[in-house]
Amino acid sequence: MVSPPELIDDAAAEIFVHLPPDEPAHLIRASLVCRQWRRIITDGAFLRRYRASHGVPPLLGFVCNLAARVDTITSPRFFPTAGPSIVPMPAFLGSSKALDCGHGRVLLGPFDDDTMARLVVLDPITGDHQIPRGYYTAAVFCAARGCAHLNCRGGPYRVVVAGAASSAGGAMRAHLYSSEAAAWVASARLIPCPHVRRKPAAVVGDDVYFQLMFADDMILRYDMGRNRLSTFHPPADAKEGGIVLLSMADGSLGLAGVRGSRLCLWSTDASPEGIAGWVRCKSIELMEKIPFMPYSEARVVGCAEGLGVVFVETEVGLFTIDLKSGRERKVSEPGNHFVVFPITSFYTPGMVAADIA
Amino acid sequence: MEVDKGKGEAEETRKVAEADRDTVTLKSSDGKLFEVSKEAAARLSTVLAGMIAGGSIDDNGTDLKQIGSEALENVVDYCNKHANSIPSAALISSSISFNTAPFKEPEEWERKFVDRLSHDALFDLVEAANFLGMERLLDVTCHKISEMMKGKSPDQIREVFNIKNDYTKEELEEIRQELAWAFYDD
Repeated sequence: MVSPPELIDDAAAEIFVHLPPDEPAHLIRASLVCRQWRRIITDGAFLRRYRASHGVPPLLGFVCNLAARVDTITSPRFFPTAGPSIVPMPAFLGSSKALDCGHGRVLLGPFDDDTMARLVVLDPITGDHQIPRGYYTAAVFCAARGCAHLNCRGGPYRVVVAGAASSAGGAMRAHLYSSEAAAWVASARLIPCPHVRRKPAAVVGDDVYFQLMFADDMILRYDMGRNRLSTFHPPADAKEGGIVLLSMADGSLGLAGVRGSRLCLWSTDASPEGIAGWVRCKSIELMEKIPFMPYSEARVVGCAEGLGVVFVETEVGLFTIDLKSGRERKVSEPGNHFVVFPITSFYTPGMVAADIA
Repeated sequence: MEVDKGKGEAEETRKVAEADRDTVTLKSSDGKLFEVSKEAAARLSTVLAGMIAGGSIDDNGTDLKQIGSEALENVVDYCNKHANSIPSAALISSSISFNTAPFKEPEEWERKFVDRLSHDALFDLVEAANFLGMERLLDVTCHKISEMMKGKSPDQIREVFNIKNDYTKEELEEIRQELAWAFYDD
């Protein structure tokens, strides 16, 4: 055989399937080797197979509202977790805050809590954006229920906004936006209700969960199917160090928080009538993983739920902890991240570059 | 065996013996013969499993005209090693709560197996695995080649794979500007 041999298309596709999706540069560079390779890599059937064989959209980085200096206002910044920054931040982000990330999109809200001010749904890879109208905090997620998020990129999404407008006498309101209808399609109200936090929301089945502020740190549930708002309590021992809500692989609602030096995971099943009791299902000792833990307080600041990865911040930096393996990885230097919104997406050739004939 | 046995009976005995054998003989394009465990061959190769089930295995060496002796030796070596290896927990485990990526990382012995191969032998083995329908071997060899591509520029990849660049300079420049981040370590 000629040395080295020319690869047949099937074998070439087999090899490309093995390039890791959390380092998109490998596939991009391979697509620039020759036209035939680019044809293989940008082919719809190959991309479906590529995504299926990697199972879950990978973590590309996270967005965090940070101030450049102590005395300046915070604005959204993108931090890549693999390689260099692949996501250019458009100019209009300066006067807004990131409220959520989901379905490969970043949801940006107004700088202050000006009701009905602009919301922007941004695709960070392509820069495409749309503008629904909105509220205080919000969640953006895939419109398809039970979706594995392999082939839904660029497809329809939903936004749920929640907030208590002072003029409404302390009532909490939630509104549901559908990108297919390009309109707000449902609204619900709950009195009385504490204010809502600007923390990542969790979407489980037909329910969207937000965190509420003040004494009880309750959880707000918006049931999209019944268009109904309700509240319930987190586990009594979960509150120190902040919590994040997440959707569990088995369809239950999860909650991650820090107790002492341990990262703990609780879960509960929610039915239309209410929620079952919380069950503590996992506990990971952080002291062994994060250097200098004894001197620093740990906070849970975000999670990439499909991947089962939780973001934990301490005085020594920002870490991701894999809930399954317990593996940790430092992803950023210390810097008061408070809340991070992970961006998970397959980023494959042909998404931004002008296609080559 | 009795001396006065008829020809028909002898033929019968030979067939029984063949069916009882726990190895099959494979013949490369250049006529070399290799013995491989029948159980492992049937388990690891959909094509060989079909031939064994269909009775088209030739005791004097089943012809595999598309596969050279070096690649076939590696195929047989892989089958025999696989037959002797104990699957790790990762390969048996079916209850993974968060991430269910179908591809299982190569086992330590599989990694060693492909690491010792030259470029040519590795590419030949990919094609042999593809031809014989050996999904796991194809995965392991392709995984190894994908690792050889990591961190390389398009130019370096072309060199390894002996591929001619058919893009125009302008096309590449356009993409490079748009995806500058992908070329950080050129």
